[in-house]
Amino acid sequence: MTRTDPELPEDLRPYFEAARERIPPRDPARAAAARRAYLAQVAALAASAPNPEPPTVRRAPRRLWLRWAWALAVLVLTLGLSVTTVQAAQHALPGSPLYPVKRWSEAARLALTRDPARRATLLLTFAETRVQEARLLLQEGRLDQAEQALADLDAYLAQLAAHPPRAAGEAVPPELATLEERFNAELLTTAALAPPPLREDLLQVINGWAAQHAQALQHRSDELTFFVGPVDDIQGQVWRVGDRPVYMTEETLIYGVPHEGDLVEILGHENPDGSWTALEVRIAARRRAQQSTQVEFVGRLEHRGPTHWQVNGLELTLAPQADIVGDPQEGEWVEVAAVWDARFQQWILWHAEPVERMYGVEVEFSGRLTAREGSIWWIAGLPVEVTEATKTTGPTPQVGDWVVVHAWRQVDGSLLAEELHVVDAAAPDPDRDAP
Amino acid sequence: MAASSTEEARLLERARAWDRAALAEIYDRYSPQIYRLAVRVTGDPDIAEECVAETFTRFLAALRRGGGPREHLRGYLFRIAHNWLNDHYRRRPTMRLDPERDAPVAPDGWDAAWRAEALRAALAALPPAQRTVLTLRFLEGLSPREVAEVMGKSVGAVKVLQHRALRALRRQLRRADGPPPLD
Repeated sequence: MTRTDPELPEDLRPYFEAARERIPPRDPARAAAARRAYLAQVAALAASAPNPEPPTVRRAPRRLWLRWAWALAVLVLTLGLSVTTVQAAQHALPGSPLYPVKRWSEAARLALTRDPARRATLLLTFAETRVQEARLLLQEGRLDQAEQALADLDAYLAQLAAHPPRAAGEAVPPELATLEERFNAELLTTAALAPPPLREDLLQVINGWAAQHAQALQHRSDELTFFVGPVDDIQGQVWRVGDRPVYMTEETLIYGVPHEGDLVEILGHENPDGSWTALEVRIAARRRAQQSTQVEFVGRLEHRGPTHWQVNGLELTLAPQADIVGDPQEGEWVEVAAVWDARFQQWILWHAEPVERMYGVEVEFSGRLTAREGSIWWIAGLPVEVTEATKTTGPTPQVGDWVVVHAWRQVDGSLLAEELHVVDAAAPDPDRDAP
Repeated sequence: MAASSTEEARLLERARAWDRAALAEIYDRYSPQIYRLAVRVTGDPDIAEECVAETFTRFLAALRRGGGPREHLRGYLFRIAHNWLNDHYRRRPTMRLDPERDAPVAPDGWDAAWRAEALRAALAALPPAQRTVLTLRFLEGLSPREVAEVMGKSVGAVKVLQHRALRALRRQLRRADGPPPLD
């Protein structure tokens, strides 16, 4: 046991020591019951035969003419499958005699498509078809077949993950973005319709898809920025904030427990398709707070009316004496200050002014320290300004070390280091943490 | 206590041959550890029992298919539990801990109880990977290499994750109501 693990900081030790001591005792009766259940499983599996290797079938040699006859018959049958039959099969559901034709035609189209973008579109289209089938099957109460459709859906998404439709830095083609958006909506609607066990499965699919989607967007712009907006919807790792999809990844830090309707600040990357990948989520204000709360944030002015503005999806009522600096136009970035009116349950805008989009924002990344040129250190290929105020934890950083950098991105884009920490001379995954 | 690798390899060999005594021994040896991990991560004995049951069901299924671990049995079982717990959190992203479920606290143990609860609440607010790395490293006492095996990451990546997780944890603890000063 590492009760005095040197890597555990001094100030955190009392917490871990206390937690190690305090584990709710395991209920002995439940533990015994769980053990009995496990042993029963062992016995049951022992009684059943293990999954055997598929038996090798020794075939009697066929006569040559018989082989040719088979080939001819298959050819005739293949040609006999008319276009009409294939088209008719497109609406077939699992269990229908035409359903195999539908799946065969999908497989054939995929096999014949080499272009990655076109192939991704096809995969997503077929995935969407599986979701639609699952929904129809659910409505008919055919749960088993709906489950099968979802298993097939997983297979398509796995293929999509294996062959991402776009290269690094490439924008999402508009038709694919629309398809992705529609697919998300299909998934969420179907999840809402599904009975509990299947809903769980579907939410897993949704989460998997979200993670994959976020991964596909790893090329996201390196500009780290933030926006504030109301939480419209939370579905696992896919949130809607200020009417835009926000993807939570394993890296995302969520402070507190935001609920739908809360106003949150998202720090992260804006993706080319308008969605966001969040690095941090903080609650700016609780929904229906009973006390007046004030928020200040920077956002895009989406709508400017005579009495109401909309900034990042947040509806703001203009105060009669609102202090509006300049003449911000729709689509521009503004800094706003608003106060929550608990009595009338609305946000009152009392100050707004146009701003440059970027502020100093906090960034954290890791990388190899490759050079030190005075106060400028090159880490992960980026110039980082290191001053006397920069705190260093762990060993003194040397050229060649792998360093975690906590820094502020200045308005001019430069990085000012607040803290440096040497992790190891052995490099972790170099693609992992570029800011 | 981790078993020696040769002893563990022999145990696994017997388990593969579906030796019931070996399968029972594996359960007796590792189920308390899995339970402890799960209850520390979730703070919920019901979920922890579910995690134990699911972990061993998946282990048996893998062995039956001819898969499962050839070595590092503990790491393998922790990995299944870790994946299950992450899935569990993904399905219930807003799940919170319920301090009412804890065992009663003696007055002289209040400070430790408060710290344990604050840590659990702070860990629950971290992203799954960060929570796992801290739980395995500093509560379960696994080495960075063992954690890397469980999480399927490099040792360096685990260290980066650990550093980041400790920072995030400190921030979470600072936000907790009425904590004693940390610095």
